[in-house]
Amino acid sequence: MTVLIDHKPPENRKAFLSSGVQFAWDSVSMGAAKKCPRYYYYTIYMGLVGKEENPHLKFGIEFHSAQEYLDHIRVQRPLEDKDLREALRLVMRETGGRDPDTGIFSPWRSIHEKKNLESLIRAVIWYFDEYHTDHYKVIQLANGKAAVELSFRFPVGLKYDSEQLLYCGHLDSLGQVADNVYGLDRKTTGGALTQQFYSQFSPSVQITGYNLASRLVYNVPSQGVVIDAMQVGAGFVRFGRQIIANTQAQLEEWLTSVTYTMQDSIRWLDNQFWPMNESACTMYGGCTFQSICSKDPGAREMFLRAGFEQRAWDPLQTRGTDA
Amino acid sequence: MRTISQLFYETDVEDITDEEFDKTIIPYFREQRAKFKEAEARGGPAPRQKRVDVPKNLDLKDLDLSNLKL
Repeated sequence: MTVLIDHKPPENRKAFLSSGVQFAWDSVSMGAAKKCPRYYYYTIYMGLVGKEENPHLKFGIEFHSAQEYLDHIRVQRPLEDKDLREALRLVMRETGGRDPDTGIFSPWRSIHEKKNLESLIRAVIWYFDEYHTDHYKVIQLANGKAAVELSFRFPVGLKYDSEQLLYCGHLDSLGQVADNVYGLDRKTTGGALTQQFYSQFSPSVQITGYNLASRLVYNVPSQGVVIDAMQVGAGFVRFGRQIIANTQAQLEEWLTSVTYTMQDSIRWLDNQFWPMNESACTMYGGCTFQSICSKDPGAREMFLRAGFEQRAWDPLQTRGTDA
Repeated sequence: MRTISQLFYETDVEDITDEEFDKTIIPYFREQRAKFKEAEARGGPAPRQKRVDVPKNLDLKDLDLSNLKL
């Protein structure tokens, strides 16, 4: 048996059985497993994250947070500037930190040229103005709640030790354009909103999963997912939208494919070996663990401890409205 | 009224008034958007936007004088 890391996985892993099998999956964990078994092992199974702050992640999370706040108001009445003001206060509060001893507030200071407090505030304000009169209208679910920040989970038709394996996720919203219903997923990018940008969403673990979830879980005749995209530049923001649709056959193929990957993950666990997919090392700007995997196996532990810390990734954690 | 630089980097978010959001922060970015859309309509490049300055409040106690030779 090859021991990859000396220390144990995080203790509070809700998505894993006691045997170590992951029973609750989402697009992050599924994407990791499809990218590279070793990457899946480090990021999901062992829960390792880089110690340095990731400004892209922070920007994305906080932008979503502001929109979730505004979405709940949008479904009740037209937005006003006072709503924008509160959304800005929310993001400034959430991105900053307060010293627990002194109570002194420190704003977010990012050195990244495109992902920083100023560009985040700009994005929230410009989005507010861009879509103030939006053709996309959020719908109401059968339970009367607005279809925003929708957490879902559904069984994939596979069991392990009598436990159903699940696929989970969170959809930004479900809404209507003309007479058709669509899911909506907001994306921020530093690059241009070209056809090449939109092409990454088909095929896509995440987007096809959303398409399936909106039909299975919410029982709405969703025609696809609107990619609500935003190019964040150093001093500007550009907006664009494109619909990603999937046929019934594509949805079924996606489901089959995820069950294959789930079964692969059980095999890696049984063998206690997660092979590297060396073809993925340099994709998308390079893998976070390339510098680890390029070292002799005996030396990796030291570098992992220096550069990474543990947190339990939880696909089961719901946000907003549960299905 | 405080400048945008002060509001971003020197002020506790809970102390920023509604008026400061409404009259300083929001208009600052709306003006940028107007210029950007004008440039886009002309087919030109995005106008260069000056970054909000991080205030340079240099305090004497922040200076490292350990190597000062007189």
